[in-house]
Amino acid sequence: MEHKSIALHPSSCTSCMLCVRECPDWCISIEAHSEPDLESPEYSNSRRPSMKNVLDKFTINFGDCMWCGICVEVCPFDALFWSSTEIEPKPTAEHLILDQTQLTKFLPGAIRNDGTSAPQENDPPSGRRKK
Amino acid sequence: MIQEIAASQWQETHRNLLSAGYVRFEFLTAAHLTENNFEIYSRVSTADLADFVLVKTNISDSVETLIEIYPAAKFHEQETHQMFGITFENHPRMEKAFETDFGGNPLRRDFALITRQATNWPGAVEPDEKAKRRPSLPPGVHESWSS
Repeated sequence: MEHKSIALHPSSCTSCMLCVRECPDWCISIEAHSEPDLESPEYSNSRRPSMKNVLDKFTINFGDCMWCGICVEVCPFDALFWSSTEIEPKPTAEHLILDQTQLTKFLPGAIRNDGTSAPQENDPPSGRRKK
Repeated sequence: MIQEIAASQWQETHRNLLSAGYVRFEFLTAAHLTENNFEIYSRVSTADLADFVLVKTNISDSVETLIEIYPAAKFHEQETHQMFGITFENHPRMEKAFETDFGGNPLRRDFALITRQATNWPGAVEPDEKAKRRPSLPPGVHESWSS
């Protein structure tokens, strides 16, 4: 397995903040909001609708990242993967802060720890990772 | 090879290693385990680099100097003194290894990282603002550090 970049599958991400809080370098940031979950079966027959988080922005600062992979290990929803796609050289440090559109481009070379290939951009969320 | 020894045998072990042919002193460093407990390491090797010994021991805050046995330890002991605040007894120049105005012992666990104080922790964000939770704090950062 080649560890050249970290790929994100945005529709799998539930903005649970686990990767952000575990990252020792504080290089991941998430902007998200919550809204009523219309697809939830409890939505119509409950006084308090169940809420779900919607991801607005997910960034990894590869200038700070030390490739420890803790975020990949900790993600319970199968949204972060090691990828064999290399990060291209950038003109300034600010350009190394990659957002979800750029992180999605790493998915074609991404694989899971068990060797299976990661979901691609238009694939549905794979749900909670099986242990 | 790794040798774990008692702190009182620190000099004696190195003297024996030198006479056993471990003539190269490679490095000396430490790790701050808890408040007053350090692990200190030194690595010595043979002249042809074919074999090495890593000596480690637990100390409280001071240990005997090795410079009578290995003169090369002088700088490493000064550096360890600056980084951890460990005192090496009978060291002729127990001062900072690097001339700087920067105070403190940056590799001690109780040393506050300036960048962590100046940066906002990204993990403080709560996607669901209405959810009442105890605000989460960054792991490994002392509560009094955040101003």
